[in-house]
Amino acid sequence: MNLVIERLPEINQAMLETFAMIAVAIPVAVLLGTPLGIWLFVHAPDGLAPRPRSHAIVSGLVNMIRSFPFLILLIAIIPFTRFVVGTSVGTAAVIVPLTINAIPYFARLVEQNITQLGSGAVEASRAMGATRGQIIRNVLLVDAKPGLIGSITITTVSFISYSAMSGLVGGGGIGDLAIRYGYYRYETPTMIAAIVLMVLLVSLVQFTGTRVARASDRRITA
Amino acid sequence: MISLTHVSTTFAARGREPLTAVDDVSLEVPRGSIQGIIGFSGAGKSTLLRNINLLERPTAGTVSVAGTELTSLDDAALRQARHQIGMIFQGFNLVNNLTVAQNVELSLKFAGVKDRRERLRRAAEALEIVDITDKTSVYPAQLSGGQKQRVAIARALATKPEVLLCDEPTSALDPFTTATVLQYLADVNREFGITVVIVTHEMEVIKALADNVAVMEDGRVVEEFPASELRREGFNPRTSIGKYLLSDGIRLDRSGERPHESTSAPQDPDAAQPGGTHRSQHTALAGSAGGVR
Repeated sequence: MNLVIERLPEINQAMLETFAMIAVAIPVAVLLGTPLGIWLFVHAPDGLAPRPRSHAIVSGLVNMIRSFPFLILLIAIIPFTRFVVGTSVGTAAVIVPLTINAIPYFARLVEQNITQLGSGAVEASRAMGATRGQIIRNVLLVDAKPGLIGSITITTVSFISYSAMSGLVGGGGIGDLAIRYGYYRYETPTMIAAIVLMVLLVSLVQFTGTRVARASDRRITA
Repeated sequence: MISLTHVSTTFAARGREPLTAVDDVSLEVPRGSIQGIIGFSGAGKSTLLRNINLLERPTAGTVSVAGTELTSLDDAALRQARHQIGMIFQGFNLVNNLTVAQNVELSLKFAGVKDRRERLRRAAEALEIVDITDKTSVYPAQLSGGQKQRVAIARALATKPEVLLCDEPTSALDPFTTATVLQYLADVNREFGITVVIVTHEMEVIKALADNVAVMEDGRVVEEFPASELRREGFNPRTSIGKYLLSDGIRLDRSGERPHESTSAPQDPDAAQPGGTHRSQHTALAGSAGGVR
């Protein structure tokens, strides 16, 4: 116990680093992944405006980034990371690969959410003379909202877990703390404290996400 | 009002035989009339209906609505023209995360009505036509099937269209609700002079609502007659479906002497005893029709 108290400043620092990683990666992923996911849906071979060739290229690119294990992506894009944030070590250096990985991850979830909606309301909107943009804004995003909130939750939880690998480039964070103190220094109490914090963090994210998603879902009677 | 000239629609799928859903159909629907289109599933009647507002663009032929040749319009002009053509569907196709009023408002939004208050006023007006006045702020999940279809009718009417296309509008509804919804369609036709085209496999619906009947089979209109003919003594439709419209609905052979096969050709006018063929589709069809009585 004393040991954990002694480590409190490090734990505090690590939590802040984790927050920083998630606070940048997830919003950027949502901001860029949403249009990318919509693009994938709209231009699919059987979509609203099929563009089979460019769809195949973009979809392939998304698959490629997604198939990288995070640890390998972290290393593979170091030159790009250095170009963006000017360094290849530290928290900022982890945020770049986290974000790069999260964008296609979230885009696929968006695409899936919209695809699942079914074509009924879209067909009705086309019959009403709606433009593609109007359909996306007024119908697809409206009906997909609960699903999208769920996807943000899933992405956040996954990337809290990915952020544990940041130690490889000295990025810090709570997961890295667990590895450094728990695994390398045999400080089991510190590791347990870090794990408990991670569990609490993930639970909080999941709880909030589920609540917000449910509140925005009108597909089932209240 | 609506004029289809040699309309064909062929679906070409890679690695498969092209499928001709609509095969050289010409049809005239007079202004203010109710045109019924009946046929079995797969006869091409839904595709033909979608040809009218070009949700499905025909691969050949021309489509004109209210004097405008839709098949020659560009996308923007076509969208403009669609504001004059309302449509309702079997599955209602409402936006589930929007309230009843917001759903109806949507068609006005798409039609370019900028002022939100104006949209809400006209949405309430349209909902009044279908007698939905107290449920405007609930969500579709809280409505019955019949209420959902009435909201869909209001949504289609809000832009004051000249034509209303109905794709199996009562197929998901029970017979009593069906009667209510059909009554609203009849009222709308009478009061506003809206031309109605209704596609269905339900004989009762055609009999109750249509002014003119077109029978579809394998993508073609095989028979056309005024619905009044159905009440005329001695009227003898050519096709089996036409004959079915005269029948009392379903009649089963329960003697057990019938061999287990269903090769009797319903297309053969001589074989088609009204209510007596054994095709499963006929059974379903006459069954739904029989329930209303």
